[in-house]
Amino acid sequence: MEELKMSHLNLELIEKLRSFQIPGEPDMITEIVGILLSTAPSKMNSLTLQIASGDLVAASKEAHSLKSSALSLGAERLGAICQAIESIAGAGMSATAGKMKADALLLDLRAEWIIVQGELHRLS
Amino acid sequence: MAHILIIDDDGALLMTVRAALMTKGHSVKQAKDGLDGLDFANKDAFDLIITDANMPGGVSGYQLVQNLRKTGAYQNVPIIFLTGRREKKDVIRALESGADDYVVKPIDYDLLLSKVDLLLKSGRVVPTANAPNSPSPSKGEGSANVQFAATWSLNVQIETLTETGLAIQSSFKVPIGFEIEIESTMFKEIGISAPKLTVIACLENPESGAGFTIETRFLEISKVDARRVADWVRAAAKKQSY
Repeated sequence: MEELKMSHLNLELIEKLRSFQIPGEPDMITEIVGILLSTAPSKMNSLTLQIASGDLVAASKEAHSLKSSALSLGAERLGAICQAIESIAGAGMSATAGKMKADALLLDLRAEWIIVQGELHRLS
Repeated sequence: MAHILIIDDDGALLMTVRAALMTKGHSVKQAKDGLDGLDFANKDAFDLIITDANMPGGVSGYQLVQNLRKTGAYQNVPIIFLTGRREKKDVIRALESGADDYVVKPIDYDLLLSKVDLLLKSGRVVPTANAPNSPSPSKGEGSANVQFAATWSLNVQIETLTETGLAIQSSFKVPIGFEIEIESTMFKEIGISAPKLTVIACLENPESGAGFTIETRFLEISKVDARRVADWVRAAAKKQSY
């Protein structure tokens, strides 16, 4: 994961998205930020429970879904951490090693979400 | 401008892709899963479809595309996969299911829009068995435009007969809604004239090279013939159950 090169939020992408704003419709960025702020916490809670119970296949699906939401607004580091969690299930690790890795990534994910959340609030 | 269907369970993505396509003048409909996508596709006529690969609700993007390709209306409609799955095996799986192109998330909107534009202009390129140098019956010098009714005979095998239609094994695909007439000694045995049929499904047989199962319904069958078919089917079924 080339984390240092990635942004918490890709502002260039956000500018691009602003250029797609349809006149007369609600502000798209505000709406997307609203979607991410309201759906990401429940996705992370599900992910936490799935990893705690060792269900790495379910965690992989949840991480894939959260990755998609994160990347829609250019939350690149968040997306990369989700990708790393998503890949554990198919990586051929033992259940214990997989869970340990997932636990570590989950902590990373929570920390990144706190930063992204702050930036999202500033955007909207 | 084109009428486009986007299918993805991510509400934010639906919103941004819709907006991006609308800036190019396209009209856009959004579906939140594969099942809704199939439903919308069947009720409307789209010029291009963009779909995610993994979605909740039981119908994945791969299943959706395979399903659409079996229906006449979507055999030649361009389909793009838009997904977070970036491995070569995922791209191959998408292409094998019937997709024409593949865009990986995070979305490069310029790339997506240019692919949409290109596919709408060029249409779907399906490999055909035509020899590259064989002469084609296209318009030009040495050809004449004619309008004569004609029939095309194919050898097929009737496999199932019901009171409302029959299923045929064929080496050729036939579009849904297509009207066909077949001759068979079976009709003589039943005591009816060969009925007209309409194709309601054309399913590729899973064994490679095994052709297609074409399901049909009777069209314009008289009441007397319909009764004879029903009696014959019942009698045959009874015989088979012994």
